[in-house]
Amino acid sequence: MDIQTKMIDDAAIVFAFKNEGRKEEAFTQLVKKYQERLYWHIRRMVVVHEDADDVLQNVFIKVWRHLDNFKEESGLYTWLYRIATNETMTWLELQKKRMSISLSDEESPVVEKLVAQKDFDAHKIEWKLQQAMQRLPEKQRIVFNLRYYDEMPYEQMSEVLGTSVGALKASYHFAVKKVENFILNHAL
Amino acid sequence: MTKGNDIQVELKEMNSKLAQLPKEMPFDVPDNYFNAVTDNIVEMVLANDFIEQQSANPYTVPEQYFSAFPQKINQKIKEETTVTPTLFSLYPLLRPMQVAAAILIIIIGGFSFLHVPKNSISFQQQLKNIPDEVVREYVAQNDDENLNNNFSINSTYSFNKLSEEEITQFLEEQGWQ
Repeated sequence: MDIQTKMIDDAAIVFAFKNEGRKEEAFTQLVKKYQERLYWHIRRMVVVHEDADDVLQNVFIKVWRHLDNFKEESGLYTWLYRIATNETMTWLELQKKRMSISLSDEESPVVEKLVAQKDFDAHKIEWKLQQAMQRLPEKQRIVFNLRYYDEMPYEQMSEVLGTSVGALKASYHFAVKKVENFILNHAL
Repeated sequence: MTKGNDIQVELKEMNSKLAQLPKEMPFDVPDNYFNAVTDNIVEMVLANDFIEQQSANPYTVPEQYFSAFPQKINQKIKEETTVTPTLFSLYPLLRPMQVAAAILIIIIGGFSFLHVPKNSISFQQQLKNIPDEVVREYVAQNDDENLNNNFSINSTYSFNKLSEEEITQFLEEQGWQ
């Protein structure tokens, strides 16, 4: 992300987008600014690059369609994360339905895809952490993802997920303990 | 990638071992993906937009059709409520009248049936009204032994032997019919 992109204010992007003559330019700036963050948010949930790319494209198509009606009651960043999270959840639900075997809430349809990833090494701590994360229930996984990796403040997370700050703190606490236990139990 | 201070503090407060772990992402991303993805997404979104515009509804609707539609419907409803009622619409009112007419027909029919004079009764009464002399004269003329011996105005036996036709004919001759 270059300095110029970082400098561009969200409000200015939204304002420019609502001007028909500058719409495309504003949208390009918005994609440049948020693509990487949203990509990783999605990728950690769906694991496979091609799937993450598909979901990311769907997210930006929605953004293009609805940014005109964006009320600016919440920040653009929060709004984008909300769309990305919903799209990811919808995608995961679809995957579960497509799979012939029934999965419990604690089983993610992407656990198997994780071990098939290029350079996967079950002994490496970063892969172990991903394995532990994929075994969390979906909502807890999103909370862990947003807090641990995106370092999102709880108040903002509350806006993204529509859950109280207290519930999110508790959820993160449980998620951390579960991840930790998995890593300790699968130590070399 | 390093963890932010507040995340580290929080993990330490939880006494979690995760505080010591690196935050590196082990996933592989194709070369130059993030440089190309912006152009790809913008191109795709614009293409999608173009397709949507092309596949938009080709029909046109008169100006202000939808804004005027509710008023138009209300007007039509009002008009329909003031229309002269048809025979079909009067059906609920006609129903009690039909029932009353049916009852009246049954009463008149029943009354007529009960008060119609029956031929057998009339015939017996006519026989009763014939004077004995006339009957005796008839018997004498016909020289009927049984009739002569057993004649009684109240006896049905003697008359059973005469056909109804004969009796009727006799009564006609005598001017009793």
